[in-house]
Amino acid sequence: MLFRVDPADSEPLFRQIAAQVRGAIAEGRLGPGDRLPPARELAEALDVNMHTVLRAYGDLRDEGLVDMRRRRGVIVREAAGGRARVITAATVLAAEARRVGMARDEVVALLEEVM
Amino acid sequence: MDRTRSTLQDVAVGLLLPAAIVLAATLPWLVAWSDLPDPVATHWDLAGDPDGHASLVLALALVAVPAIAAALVLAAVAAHTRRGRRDGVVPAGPALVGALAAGLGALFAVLSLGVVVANAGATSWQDAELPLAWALASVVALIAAGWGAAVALGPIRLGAPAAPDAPGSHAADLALRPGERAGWVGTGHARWPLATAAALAVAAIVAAVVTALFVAAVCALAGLLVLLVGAVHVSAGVQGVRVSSPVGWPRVTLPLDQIESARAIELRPMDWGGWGYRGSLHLAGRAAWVVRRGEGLELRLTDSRAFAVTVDGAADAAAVVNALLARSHQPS
Repeated sequence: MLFRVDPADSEPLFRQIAAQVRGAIAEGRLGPGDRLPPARELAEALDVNMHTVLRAYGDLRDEGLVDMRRRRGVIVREAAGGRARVITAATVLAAEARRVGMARDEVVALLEEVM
Repeated sequence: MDRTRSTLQDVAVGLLLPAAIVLAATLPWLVAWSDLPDPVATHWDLAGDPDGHASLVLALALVAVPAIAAALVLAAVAAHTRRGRRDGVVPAGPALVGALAAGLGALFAVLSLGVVVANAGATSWQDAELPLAWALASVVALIAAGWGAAVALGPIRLGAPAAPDAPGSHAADLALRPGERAGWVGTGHARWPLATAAALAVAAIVAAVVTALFVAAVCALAGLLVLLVGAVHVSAGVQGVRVSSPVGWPRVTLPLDQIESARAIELRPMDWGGWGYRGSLHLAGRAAWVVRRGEGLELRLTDSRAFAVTVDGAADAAAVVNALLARSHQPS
């Protein structure tokens, strides 16, 4: 899997890495049961700290997209695709709201209205 | 490579080694001729007792003539590649023939010496005992002389075999912003590693029950080996291209400064010598890590060398390598 990160970007590196994995899951390039790259190999290829990669993987686990198992590695969960698309849409919504200056409460209220 | 060393190598491989082979294959016969029985023992069983014989003249012809012929071929090839090396190109074919001739020449020279040593002083061929160590010595001589000649005649550069681009591997260029980093991590899997390993495990159990434990051990070991080489991990990034087994060893690292270009190919195992880790970057200038046929990453390396590994998504890997190479070539 291809990764691109830019240390000059305002997003922290671990968010950039998590976003790319999430995007791959959302688009189906990574499916249920697929294994994410070993953190050490990815960290080496991108010249970042291994804990940066592990933090990205930890976030993806907290989002319910992957399982982290000792020895077996990090594996994409069942039905992670739909979930990844919703989370991606939410991050886009949040970024867009920030950009146009919408208040947090306003966005939350909006979400409750459309649900 | 500096000139003196290369001349020394030429003398060693083109004159000294052939001369040593010819002398070792003929001189002992001349010295011991009167002490040899006729016929002489020419074949031994594993215990070192003779079980085959031939007339003196035939025995001499069987071991000395091939050794002399091999020595002549080696000398001719050495003279030939010396001319080639002055032009900066060492032809791979002749160099391989030379290495083969050196190995076979050494093998027959040691065998010839063994026949004389075993038969000298024996009253008849049945009394000529040959220790098993001679067989081992002949194999060692074969490998040492062949290896040495390959190094001295080289560097042998087989280069990458012609291969079509991998299907659908549109050469999408990766344009990196200044400061942006790109990395790629992927794997290649054999088609049936689990099935093969399982079959070998069953064979091991059957062998343990009905035949020998030795056969069972071989089957079990082969099964483990299939699991070990059934998949390959590949990563590409600032460290270059790194290839390893799933457990991390063995491992090959090709730093970016050794890579000239990368592309995704449709890899045919037989082009690279078969499955597993084939070839040698050091000796042959070509190596490949092959677990299946199909999509693979081909790297053209400095010094006319080439490396390939079977891996899924090779086009992305090649794009990362080429993007990083393009950046490293830019004046900073």
